Amino acid sequence: MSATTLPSKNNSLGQRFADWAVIVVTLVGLLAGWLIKNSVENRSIPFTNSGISAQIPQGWLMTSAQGNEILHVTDPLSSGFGTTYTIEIMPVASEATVDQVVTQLTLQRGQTLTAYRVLEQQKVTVFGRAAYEIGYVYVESNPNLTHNQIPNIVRGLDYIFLNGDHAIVAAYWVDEKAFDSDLGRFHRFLNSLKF
Amino acid sequence: MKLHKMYHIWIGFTVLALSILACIGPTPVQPVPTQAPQAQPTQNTQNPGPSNNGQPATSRADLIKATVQIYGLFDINGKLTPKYSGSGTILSSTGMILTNAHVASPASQGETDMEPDALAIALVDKEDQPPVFLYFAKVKAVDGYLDMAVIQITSTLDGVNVDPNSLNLPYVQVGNSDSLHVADHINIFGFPGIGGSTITYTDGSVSGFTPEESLGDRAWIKTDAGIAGGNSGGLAANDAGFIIGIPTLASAGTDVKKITDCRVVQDTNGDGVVDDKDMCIPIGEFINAIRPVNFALPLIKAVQSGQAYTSPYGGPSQPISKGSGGETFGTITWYSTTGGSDCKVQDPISAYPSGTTSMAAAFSFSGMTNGEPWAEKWTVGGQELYSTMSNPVQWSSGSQGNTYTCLFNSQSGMPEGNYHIELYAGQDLKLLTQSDVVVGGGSNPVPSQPSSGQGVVTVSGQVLDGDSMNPIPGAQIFILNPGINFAQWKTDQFANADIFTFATADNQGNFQLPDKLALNVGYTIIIYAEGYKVTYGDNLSWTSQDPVNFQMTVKLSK
Amino acid sequence: MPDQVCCVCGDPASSKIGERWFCEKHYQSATRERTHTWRSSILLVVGLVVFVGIVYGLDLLIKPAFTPTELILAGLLLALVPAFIWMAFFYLQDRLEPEPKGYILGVFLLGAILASAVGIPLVDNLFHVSNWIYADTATTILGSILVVGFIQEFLKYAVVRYSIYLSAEFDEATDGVIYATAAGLGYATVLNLQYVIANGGVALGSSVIRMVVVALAQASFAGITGYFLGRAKFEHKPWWWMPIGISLAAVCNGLFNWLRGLLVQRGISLTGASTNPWLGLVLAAIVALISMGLILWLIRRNIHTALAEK
Repeated sequence: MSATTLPSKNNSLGQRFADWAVIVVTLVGLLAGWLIKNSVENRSIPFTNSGISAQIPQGWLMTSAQGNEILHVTDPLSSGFGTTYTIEIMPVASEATVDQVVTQLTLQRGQTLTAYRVLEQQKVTVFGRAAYEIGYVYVESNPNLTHNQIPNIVRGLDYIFLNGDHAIVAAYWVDEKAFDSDLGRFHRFLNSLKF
Repeated sequence: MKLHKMYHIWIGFTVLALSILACIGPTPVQPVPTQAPQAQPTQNTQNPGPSNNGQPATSRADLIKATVQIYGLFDINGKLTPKYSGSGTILSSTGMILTNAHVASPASQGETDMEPDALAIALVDKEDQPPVFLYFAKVKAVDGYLDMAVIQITSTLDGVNVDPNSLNLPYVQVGNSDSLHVADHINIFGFPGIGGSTITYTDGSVSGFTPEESLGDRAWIKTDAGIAGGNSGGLAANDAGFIIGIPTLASAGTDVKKITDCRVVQDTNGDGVVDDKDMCIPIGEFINAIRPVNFALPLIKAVQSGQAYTSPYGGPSQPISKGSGGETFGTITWYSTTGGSDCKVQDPISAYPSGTTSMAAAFSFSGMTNGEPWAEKWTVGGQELYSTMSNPVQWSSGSQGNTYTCLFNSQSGMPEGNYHIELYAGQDLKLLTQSDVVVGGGSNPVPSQPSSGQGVVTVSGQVLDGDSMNPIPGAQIFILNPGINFAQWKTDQFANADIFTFATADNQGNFQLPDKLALNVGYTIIIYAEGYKVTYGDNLSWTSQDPVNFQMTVKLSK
Repeated sequence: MPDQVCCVCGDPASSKIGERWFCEKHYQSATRERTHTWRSSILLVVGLVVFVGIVYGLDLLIKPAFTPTELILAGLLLALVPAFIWMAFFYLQDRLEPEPKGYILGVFLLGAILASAVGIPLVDNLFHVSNWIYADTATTILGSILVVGFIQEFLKYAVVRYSIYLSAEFDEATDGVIYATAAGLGYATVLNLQYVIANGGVALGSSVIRMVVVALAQASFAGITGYFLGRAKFEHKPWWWMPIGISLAAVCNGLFNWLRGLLVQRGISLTGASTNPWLGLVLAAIVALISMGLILWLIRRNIHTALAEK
């Protein structure tokens, strides 16, 4: 008899059970790992200011609010341009339309951001709430001029929400390479925005 | 070797993949569907502006792309704020725009206090969305009597000058307004309201012509089309797609404009609310008169040939140069300051000590106009240190008073030497005042060195991966204020206020902390790098035994 | 006498170990003392450490100036060395170890293939482990065990279980350890190759430490799985035996990675010596020796018990 025939004992019920059990245990382990990953990535702390509350990612550096900007947090662990969320409050006339805020905002951004280009703008609903979205890009003007560093291309998204006598602008600035991968986290932040 | 029952594995991974896909939920951001289907398919380019690649407009969509909205911007509290709006038409791929004189330069119509500090130009990207502001423009030729002006795009909104030849904007070709007849069809494009209204189209017919003194019988084209005030300066085109006139406020020039509507749009006084304490923006009455384009030909030709335009009708024709010609600056007095970029003046000083981090030159002024250009030039030891001569700044300190200008170098202090400052103002940048002052004891500029004996150390270094020894670009190095350790910073929610200084590693992993650290003080240093654990060292201090320029190599491990 | 067949080859069986019947030939094989396997394991570990010392010393003394391409090639070469050392030792023991070289090589390659096709994409591109695993200690440990540990150990298990396990060449418990270690080394080699390529060339002296650490670690944990597999094939083990085995291997994998991270990354000091990779090597060597020793001792004890029962 050839030495390579398979004795039937190898397919015993216990053996098959064991095979499946290993696969199940591995899948359970991976699932648990996935849940841990999600919970870690979504860790957030509450933030409240001027009647606006949100959940901001834990561990992000917070710059103290100045002027109209009430929130400015940056992810220190992102390479390239540090992913940043900001919330700005712009006073508007009570009967203002969102178009007016859009123009004000693009005018303001165009003057402060280098090589500001609008990619797209449209009315949207954000988690069921009416808003206006402006997608744009700019170049981070490198403050560290003494070092050879290629300036970063930053993509931005502004979401304008009208709220009575002011408009709330939630902005997302991210290195253009990380735009898609970090967008999910920003959507969770948007979802937590309450006013 | 048999690879039996590998399907166990594949089934396992399929289950895994499916369960992962199931985690992807509904889209959080949904675009709002457009209400009405568009009559004509639009060219949906991503970037507003260069869509025709510098070709003349031939279709309605092209005419839309060549119509621009113009804002008159005024420097209020340091911010450029719009006070009025109008429309314009691009006449060349290089960004030459035709509009009304009262849109480009209200001073030409006698309203000097409405003369803007800047003109912003917005182009249409999508027809159903507000136009996007992209450029600043300057007045090149203006005729106050005709109420026509030609302006030229000069820079993008961030202040960077553009090369007109690189603009490639869509443009409208100039038609012959003398060949118009009564009952001819006219198409009017423009932006009726202030603040983000989308481009509007109205059409009508030539209902007749109106004479005006010195201008002949065809001074005005009358139309039955209803044109809202913001359309002023915009495009009136015939059916062939040629511009034949500019919709103009009928009461421009001699009559008093009846302002029927003045709307508050922006928080101009900065108090956090938009109310009647803020400046309101006049929305004019309806227009029904169009200035024929043939009158604009001399202005267009003058701008194209680079010559100054003179109005044959006696109206103001020079672009109003900001600056009365009577600007004066007083003698400069030097002041000690609070240091660094903070630079608040303290006391008059005759010479600066070496290592000073900022210098302030104070002077009185008169005859200035907000918005006029002014420039400064600093030299030390005969070599230019800082100058805004090639890019003059807009004056914003009022017409007379006292002010000061500051120069600072927080990192290593101002270089020692004999300083000379010159201040210029006016359209032609006349030298108005100059002064000399000495920093330190030396007479020649010395390359800035960390001042010895002051108990500080400059820290720089490199961040590497511990195994591969490759640099980690983009690593962030933070130093916290003395006395705060990492755990405490964490409870402070990583507040920016706790950070003493920070730097980012460049492509070679090199960094230098911009602020010097004091000796014998415990600092916490933290390094963030993507893909690595946050690494820190608490309570590190440098002593006088350490070199003044301290180099450290930090290795991170995964 | 009932017609018993050998559980390995199907030939008529005459002897029994535990519940299983063996023919004469395979009985001899199963009960043979395998002291030389322990010896070759020690030699392997020592050989790898010596290799690290040689490369590190050469790099320090000669400081070769490579062009970027040469650096990558040198790095790739280094990545392959631990596997070669092991293979060399294995062949040297050839007359006592009749495992077919072809099968060993095949399992090694399978381990390598699964690492590059499944293991690395899962860890890096699906789970993006390096982004979140360092958030805090608990996350690091759990993440290393549940994600990295299970993925790596399951793949190495699968390589053995679904190929050589079914063959008659796998005729004793030690074979499980041997083949699993081959799969582990294949996996480690691909990890090291990818490390060199992804970094575009690495400093040879310090990287060789890392490479050997990876090789030793992967081989050790695979050995655990192999031990469980080996015993499962030849004894009636309950259905939870193998899952426990793979979980144990995953736990050891995860804990090792976390411990190594702790030992190697010292935190920042002004003297700049913020990492100490040698500690990682020491840890890996100790872990390898202990796990190999423990496994082989367990197998030997098992055989003795079975023989004593007879």
